[in-house]
Amino acid sequence: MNLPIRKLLDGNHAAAWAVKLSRAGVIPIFPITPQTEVVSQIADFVEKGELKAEYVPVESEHSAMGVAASASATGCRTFTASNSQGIVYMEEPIWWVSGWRLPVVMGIVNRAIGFPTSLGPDHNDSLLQRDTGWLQFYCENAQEVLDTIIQAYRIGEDKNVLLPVIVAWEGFVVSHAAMPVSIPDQEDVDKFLPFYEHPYINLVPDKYSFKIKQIGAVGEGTRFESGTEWRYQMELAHEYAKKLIPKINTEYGKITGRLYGKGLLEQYRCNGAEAVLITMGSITGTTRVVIDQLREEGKPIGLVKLRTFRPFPTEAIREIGAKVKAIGFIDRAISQGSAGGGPGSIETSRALYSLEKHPLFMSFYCGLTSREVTTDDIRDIAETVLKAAEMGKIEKEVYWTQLRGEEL
Amino acid sequence: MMSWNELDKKIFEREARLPGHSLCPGCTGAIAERLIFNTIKDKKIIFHGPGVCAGGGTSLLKAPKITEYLSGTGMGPTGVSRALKQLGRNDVKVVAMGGDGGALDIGFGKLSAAAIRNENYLQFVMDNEAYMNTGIQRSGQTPEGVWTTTTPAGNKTSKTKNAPMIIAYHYVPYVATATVGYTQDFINKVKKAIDMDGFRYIHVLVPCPTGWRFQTKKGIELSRLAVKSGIFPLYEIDHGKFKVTYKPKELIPVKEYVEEQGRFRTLNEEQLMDLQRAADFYSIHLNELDGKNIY
Repeated sequence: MNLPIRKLLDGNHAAAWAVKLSRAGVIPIFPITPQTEVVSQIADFVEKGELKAEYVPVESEHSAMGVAASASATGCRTFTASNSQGIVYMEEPIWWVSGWRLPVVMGIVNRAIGFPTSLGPDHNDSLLQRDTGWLQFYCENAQEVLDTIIQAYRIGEDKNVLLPVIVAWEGFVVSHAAMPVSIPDQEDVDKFLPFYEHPYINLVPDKYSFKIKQIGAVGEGTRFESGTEWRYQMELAHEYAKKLIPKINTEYGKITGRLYGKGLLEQYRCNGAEAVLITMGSITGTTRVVIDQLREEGKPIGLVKLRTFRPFPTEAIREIGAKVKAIGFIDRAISQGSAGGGPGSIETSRALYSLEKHPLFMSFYCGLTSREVTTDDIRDIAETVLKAAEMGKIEKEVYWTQLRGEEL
Repeated sequence: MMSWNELDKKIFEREARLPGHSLCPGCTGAIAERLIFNTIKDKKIIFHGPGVCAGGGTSLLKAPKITEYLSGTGMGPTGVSRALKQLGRNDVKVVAMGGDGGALDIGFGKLSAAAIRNENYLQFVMDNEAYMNTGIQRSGQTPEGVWTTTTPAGNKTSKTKNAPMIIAYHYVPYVATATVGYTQDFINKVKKAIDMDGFRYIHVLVPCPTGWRFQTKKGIELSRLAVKSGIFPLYEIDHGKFKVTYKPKELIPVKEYVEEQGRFRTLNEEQLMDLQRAADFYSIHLNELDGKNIY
């Protein structure tokens, strides 16, 4: 193990470094605030010859994903990044890439989708992709962005997974916040991440193959007749990824000394907790501070950080749910008119439903369309969950925290 | 000029494709594809549109093929060609087949973007002047006054855009128009284009018996009438040098081309005059450009 370099990097530059370390071969990318530094830094690496890749300055996000798809099928490791309006615009190819089982990695620098227009973050752009078959990781800080992108290639390219991966980090809060980032040695990364070769799909004439073993030809051949089986196999790949991610987390940890919980999620001060908060992305950092304060005060509260949303860590959530009295999910994404709360809440409560005795469950909308999340906001939420755990009942299922003016 | 028999022998020494296709009887697109892929002997990857008309006939071709969604023309081949470059495989050519709908209507932005980036591949557009695969719906290339299922009283949009010239003014290495009625001209252009680097574009007029409403045996005849009437002039632009590759001695009236097709039944006198004027103007304009550098 060589000594790593440390650099002061924000989330976007850390992502570009990860792409360079992962030796992506084709990078079609279209700039959008607040993702632009990913594009400019990658362009810079390519121009200077530090990254030997084909950088394709495409005319739209729709094309970015389209180019990534065909380049990946031709045998190159690919990367792209976007957010918000861009993600919605590329929705069509997003489904094709996962359907084709191509391990493209995409960075989503979370930004709220208009209208109301905002440049700041919420999780709706990436969570909107929850049904597409892509794996999804959420990052708390720049270091995690770098580490997760490298891991994402390894996981997505595994022959039992073969699925594209979204690595999400919030705009500005993570994308523009600099921290000392430890950059792993290129040799170590090369060992961890072998040369990309898709076991079933290759368009190059003398290596031509366009098949996934169990089913048959992709593209023209695979039509609606085998569509159900196709989806079922993608589901099995997700199940496999659920077992693989913790292993990769440990393996990567051995190289770099950095572990992200157990891979799928991280428990923070959950020992003996009666109440837990579940968070995703940058809110986790803010919540850690609040949990520390409350623990000082002797309050039995812990934190669970969801690192992957797809595959959803159902079993791990259930295990936690069986031990605690109340759970509060902080949703930084809206699901308008839902059964209760945002996508995260809906998934979590489904996971908990199978428990014989489930904990009390509450949803908290917080930080929607770029509203800043402070420790005070989180403290209010934490105290509500603690109170429910103490009283043994909840007052409300869904809380709109940070709401200005009177609640109607 | 070679005789038909000699030509026949030369081209069909070895067929690139297995017999049969899933296209309509009398489809000139099948003939065009056959000409194209019997000419391109190089190792290649084919990117084609999702519809049967634009490249569906290539399904019996022994070459790697890939298709994305309708607007995929332009971006799909970009990915393939960039990946080949990254892998150092300069021996493999990338050939894209698009339709007028996929390439020039919904995917026109992507085609334009690929042209301006000068992506290294050869793009064919099989122009049958409507969305034919899905049952004759109007596209941006449908001429004035034409009946389609979505323009039951005739297409009201006045003009179609001049796609080959628009692509040419992306300053690309090669642009040409071709049609199945002029086989040798077609083959020459394919041969020339496949050996170049950069973005190459060949616009192929594909008379469609199903959508244009003519007898299945008349496809070749119609493609010739289109050229002879000045509706579809044959030319090439090689690195900016403009050349008319076939000059009819005298233009026949557009009416003769129109009369052969049931789809023009909704065409009124005024619209016919418009078509005639456009054809006349276009021919004069192109003859002026002949032999000159236009960029």
